[in-house]
Amino acid sequence: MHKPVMVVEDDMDIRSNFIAALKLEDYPVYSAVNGVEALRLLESLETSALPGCIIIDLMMPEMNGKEFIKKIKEHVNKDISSINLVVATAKGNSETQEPLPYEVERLQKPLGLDDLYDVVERLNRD
Amino acid sequence: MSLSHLISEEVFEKSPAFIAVLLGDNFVFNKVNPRYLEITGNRDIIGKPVMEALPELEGQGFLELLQKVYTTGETFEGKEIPAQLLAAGSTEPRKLFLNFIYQRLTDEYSNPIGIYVFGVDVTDQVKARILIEESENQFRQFMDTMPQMAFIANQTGDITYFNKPWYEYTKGIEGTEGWGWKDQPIHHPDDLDLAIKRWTHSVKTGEPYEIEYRLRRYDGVYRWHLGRATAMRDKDGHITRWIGTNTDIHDNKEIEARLSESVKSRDEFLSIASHELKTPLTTLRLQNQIFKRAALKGHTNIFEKQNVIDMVDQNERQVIRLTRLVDDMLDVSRIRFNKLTTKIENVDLSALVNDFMNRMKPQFEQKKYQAPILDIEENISCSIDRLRIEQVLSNLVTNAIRYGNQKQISVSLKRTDTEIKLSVTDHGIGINPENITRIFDKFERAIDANEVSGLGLGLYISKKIMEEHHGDLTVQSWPDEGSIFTVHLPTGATNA
Repeated sequence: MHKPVMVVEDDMDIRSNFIAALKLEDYPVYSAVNGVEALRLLESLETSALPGCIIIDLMMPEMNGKEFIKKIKEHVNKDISSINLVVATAKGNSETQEPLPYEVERLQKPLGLDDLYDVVERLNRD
Repeated sequence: MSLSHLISEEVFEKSPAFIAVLLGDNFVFNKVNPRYLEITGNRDIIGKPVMEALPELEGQGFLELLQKVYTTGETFEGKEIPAQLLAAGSTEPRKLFLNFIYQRLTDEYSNPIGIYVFGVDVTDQVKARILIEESENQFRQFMDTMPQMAFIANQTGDITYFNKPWYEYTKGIEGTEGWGWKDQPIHHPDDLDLAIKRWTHSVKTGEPYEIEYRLRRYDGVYRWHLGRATAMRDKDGHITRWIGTNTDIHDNKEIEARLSESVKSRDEFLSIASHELKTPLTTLRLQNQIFKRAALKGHTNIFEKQNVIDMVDQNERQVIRLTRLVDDMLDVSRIRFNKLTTKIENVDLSALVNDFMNRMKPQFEQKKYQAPILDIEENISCSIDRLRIEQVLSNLVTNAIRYGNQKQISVSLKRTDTEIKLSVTDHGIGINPENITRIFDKFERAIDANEVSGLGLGLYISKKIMEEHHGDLTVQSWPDEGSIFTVHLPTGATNA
């Protein structure tokens, strides 16, 4: 049984597609529309139920992706701060990536299923 | 009084000065030294009255001068007095410049007896100086014809000359006294310190002076100039003076600034546009691949009727989104070339608004809004471009949903004596006063691009559309309280 994957994405359609794609490979999925909601959800979970990785959209209202990454990486709960993070961004291309507060895996939109599965398979481990 | 009272025989003979003694009131040459003979052309002049000996002096004023000194006893001291004298063996007089004195000689009873002449030929010095003056004049004339402002400064850095363009630029301060480098600078206060620092440094070291600064024109406008000055040196390398120019680079500077501004805004636009285009593409791509993968894996439940309808609807939304993005980009390009066309027809605006708001219902529900309050006056007809006005309304309502914080949104359509007003009111985040003027600009949004998606073109295009209708689009807003966007259409355009 896979560990759950969390998707933080404000675009409803992309979010539902991520969920559908991950479910197709039998990943349990948590989803949130922004960083604030995602953080609240993470903090409410038992350690055993925490996701193995979080896919984050960079451009979101309330708390943008960068702020969310900082919040996770600097979280007091080590089980949360150690979760693998993946950024999915439509900004720029592989040559013009904007700097992030922490080094994290990147997915360049528009991404394909293989890109998604590849990253999740590598990062969503115990 | 004999000559030996005045000068020794040896000095008289060997002096580089010319010396003569004229006696009587007709000024007979009594004694002259070799230098005097030399400059008068070695003629036989002893014993002859001056006008007979040197007839070419006629009309040059010397006789009158001699007479005056003879009569009044006042010594005459002349500097660089021009004299036309015949040289030896020549019939053409040559022009000399002489420094000399005429001093009256008297007898023991103080009666006038003659004139003592003592002088030096300064022709070479004067001619050299005139040459310099001429070249200086030519140089200044040249400076005056330059389009740039130019100046000359002495070796200590004080300005000694400004050219014509300088006075044309500054006006009202004719004459160098009006402009002191230090006391009455025309430099922008923010640039003055640097200008003085650079100038002082150059004057001290002899290094070329170069600076960009703003100089005040006669009308008080500061314009950017490139100031340059170079030290002129004598043959020993000593600085004799500085020659400098100020070239107006204001227009270039402004073009440069506008260019870099437009490059920046284009880059930002491209970055936002590519982001906005990639978002629907992401959905479409994932959607496609999910279908294929589900089919390959035999997950037939994904092809159930409702699921297929939902997914096709989803794809439709992406296509609409892409189309709208492309339309917006095209509109911006049309506006840029003044080609935003409108197709004016008589339209029932009340029906248009009601109909549009009806179609927007799902968007309100989807974004968790209550149904908007509509206050639409019936039967308002006017001459407008139906699609364009709907585009404006769509922009305003979409913005209200986007920035409305899920609080009540209302739309009203009213007609007054002078205009038709269509307002969209939200109670969301509002706009800070400092941002309110630029929200109608291209590619602007009042909040961080990291937080809200969209091209930032909606209000810009809407404003232009309203201008095409001879109307306007205005906003009132209060941070954290919300905004009211109002479309104004002139009643003159109506056919009700």
